[in-house]
Amino acid sequence: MAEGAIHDLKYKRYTGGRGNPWLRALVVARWAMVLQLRQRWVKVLFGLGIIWATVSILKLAMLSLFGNSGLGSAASGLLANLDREVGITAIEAQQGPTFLLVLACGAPALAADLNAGAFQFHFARPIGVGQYLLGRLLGSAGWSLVLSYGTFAVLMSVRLVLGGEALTVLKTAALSAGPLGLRVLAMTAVALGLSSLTRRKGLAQAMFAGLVAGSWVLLFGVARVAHKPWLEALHVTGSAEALGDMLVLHRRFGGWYDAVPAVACALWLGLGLGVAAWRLSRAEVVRG
Amino acid sequence: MQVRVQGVTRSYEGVTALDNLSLTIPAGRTALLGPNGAGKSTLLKILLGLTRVTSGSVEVLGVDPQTDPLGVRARVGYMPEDDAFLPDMTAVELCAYGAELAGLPPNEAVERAHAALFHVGVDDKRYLPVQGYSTGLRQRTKLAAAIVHDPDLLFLDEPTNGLDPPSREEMLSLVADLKDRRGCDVVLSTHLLSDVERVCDHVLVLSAGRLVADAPLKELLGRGDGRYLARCKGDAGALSRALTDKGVAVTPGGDAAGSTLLLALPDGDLDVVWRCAVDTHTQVRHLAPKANTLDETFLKLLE
Repeated sequence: MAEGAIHDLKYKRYTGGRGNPWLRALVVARWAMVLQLRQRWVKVLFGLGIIWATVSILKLAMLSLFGNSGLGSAASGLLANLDREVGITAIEAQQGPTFLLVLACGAPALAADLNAGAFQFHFARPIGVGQYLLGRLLGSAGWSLVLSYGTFAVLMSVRLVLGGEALTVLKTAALSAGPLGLRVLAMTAVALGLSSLTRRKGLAQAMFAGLVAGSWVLLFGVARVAHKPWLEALHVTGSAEALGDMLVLHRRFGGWYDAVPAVACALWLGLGLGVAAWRLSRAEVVRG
Repeated sequence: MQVRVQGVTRSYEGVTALDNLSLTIPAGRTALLGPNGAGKSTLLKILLGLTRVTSGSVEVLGVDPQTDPLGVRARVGYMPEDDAFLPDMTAVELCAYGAELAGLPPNEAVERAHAALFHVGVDDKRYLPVQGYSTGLRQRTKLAAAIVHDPDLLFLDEPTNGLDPPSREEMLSLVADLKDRRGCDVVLSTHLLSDVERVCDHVLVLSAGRLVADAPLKELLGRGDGRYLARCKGDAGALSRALTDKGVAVTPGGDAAGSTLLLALPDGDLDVVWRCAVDTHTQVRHLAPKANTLDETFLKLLE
């Protein structure tokens, strides 16, 4: 080869592997989260979540320190249930910020895709409806899950450091971790289902907010008036929270009503994803 | 042979979109033509594994899209007619994302995204969100996104739609170059027959879900149907009348001087022309078969 000569290296064909199609769901989720982080509102809400988490952590730290100091009879009663309360706090600590994050990230997700022709982009590639939807679910719930589990991890760590019994804290963590994730996922699935019904992001967000808030007012109101607390467990987020109460606090509705939280949670997840899958299966990739 | 379609019928709610269609698509650049409702979009959907056939069998690159749609779509590219982007993504991100969705590792995906955008001529604007692009840049970005995962076969749906003449010419050059530079065969679905003449070497014409033509472009254009173009000096009108008396259909050739005539000689008997020229003292200075344009051929096929 002569020194300084320019040689055309020609186009090189790709000869590597293509990976498992289900891993492409993670690609969809990762890129969705990267794009969400560019939105100012997502950053603001995430910051709000961190402040919210800090307040919960400080509250827990003060209770632990107060209880450990042995001051007052109230403190000892509180301390007896503190480990359980930590579990419930972990599940419910980010109720507000995660709802707002799902409202900002999940509710407009499929409407925006529909508007931009993103279904054509995706489904002309080797990715199926199931993989795409799983990716969208994880992507839309991603920052809410990071916030929820981040707060959860810090709360459990603080409790451990400030006098919690390791085995009890770990048991509480194991019992509350599932409902924590289910709460976010059920909410996101419903948001995606509603989002798939329209091209207008604002309308999708309004439908989601209306459903969550409207059903909360209705179910919680009727539950109080009719003295049927299991009705609260029918709510989108209330179902996972009731499941957490059952697992961590051993709260029971009695009889077959004990199955309501788990069934309701599964129904919301299935309904949201089912509607979205039905709409996606009808997405026009080749128009004409 | 890149695609084989055998006896495919596809019916939607009582409407037959494809009717016992059989065809093969050879390697190279093939045009898929047909009027609206001919079944082109349905055929593309079937080839991409997006819809099932009612009966018949299909193979794309040796893979059945009915049973392995993801396997087919990993090896083919599709450039849609409409915008198909993701909100807030830059061209580099869009292409890298497309490559990752096709199973390429992230580093390789970014590398190939830059290479594909360079190939189609999207320069520094590749770092800006796609929604702000001009129509020409959007089309180029769509092409880059369709080839980024190194497909063996590329389906292009109206790639020059909405482009001004210079951009259209550049896009056609890119399409024509894909086979030579990247070894990628092309199926071009379009209504613009001039694009086909510029780029393709094989033509398939569908009408009402059936195949009405399957031939190399040159062969299709060479079908003159016995029409000859004669250029005369002298009394072209007298020659025209004499030929008409002999049973030859004559129409004016369309020039301003009226010196050219279009003659229908289905049996190729040129002697009658010479005899009439002698009789009318008219010089025939040029006599050659009149090749069809693709437009004419297309319209005839659809009749």
